[in-house]
Amino acid sequence: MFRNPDTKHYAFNLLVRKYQERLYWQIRKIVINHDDADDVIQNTFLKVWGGLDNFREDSQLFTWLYRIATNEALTFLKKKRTKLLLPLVDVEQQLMRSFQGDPFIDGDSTALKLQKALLKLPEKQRLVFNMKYFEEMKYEEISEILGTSVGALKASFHHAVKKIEKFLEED
Amino acid sequence: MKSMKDKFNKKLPFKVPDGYFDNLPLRVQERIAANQAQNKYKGRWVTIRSQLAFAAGFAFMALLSYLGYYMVHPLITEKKPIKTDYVEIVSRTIYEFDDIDLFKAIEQKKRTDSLKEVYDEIPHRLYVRSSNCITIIDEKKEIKP
Repeated sequence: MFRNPDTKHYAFNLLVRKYQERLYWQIRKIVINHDDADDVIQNTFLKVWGGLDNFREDSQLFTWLYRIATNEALTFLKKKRTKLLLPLVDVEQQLMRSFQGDPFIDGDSTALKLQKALLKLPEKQRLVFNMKYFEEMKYEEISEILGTSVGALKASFHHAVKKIEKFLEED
Repeated sequence: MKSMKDKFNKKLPFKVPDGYFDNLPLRVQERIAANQAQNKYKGRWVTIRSQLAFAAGFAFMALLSYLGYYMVHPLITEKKPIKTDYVEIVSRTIYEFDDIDLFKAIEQKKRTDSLKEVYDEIPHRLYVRSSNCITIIDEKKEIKP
């Protein structure tokens, strides 16, 4: 369907409807703010549209989409860092501040505490934790998306859990 | 890990505006259409730009080689006629003169030459004459006492 120019638009529309929510939430967990997530998801689908002709079917469609979405979100944060000339820590601080001003964040929930603890983690550990804990993805899938070995992912997740527990105990 | 799951229940604190996911596919399609139109324009501009760049490069190279050539071989504004040219001029114009013209021209030339000789001679003669006069006056002074 994607290869045929007559059905390409229709097939793409189906793809967007099917995967938009899962991809949105993956992006939102990385960039936190709704407006930023909205920008990133649109850019993600633009990239997907542009890459459909080159999509190799040996890789799973969802894994491919997830990889594009994750890369777009990370690139967005990198650009933000470069644009504001901020070091890594200050971007995390800025993301932390968006918890207060964003009308699309539930300000009093216990889930918010977990998100705040997550922001204190290094970027890679935060990604791995999000994928494993919230998405319940297999290490093999995460490995394919992030291009990291399964062993390294297990170690990252383990460190992330330990750190979060520590943060929550201190809080 | 188990305690964390019980505590947080994997809930996210995030929300989206009402109807956000209903409108998203349409907005994505609009972005794609806008992007395609922009790419079409960009593609055309890229083609024109590359052609313009090629033409400008060619013109620049032509200018450089032109300037380079005339730096090595400067322009000769006054061309000196060579021997063969005189022969050619004479052979071309020989029928435009007759003997009388030639005679007149020679006469004229002689006249101007002789006048010029006289004008050149006058200061010299005047000088000799004046110096002779001074000598005569001095001699007469000596005789007179």
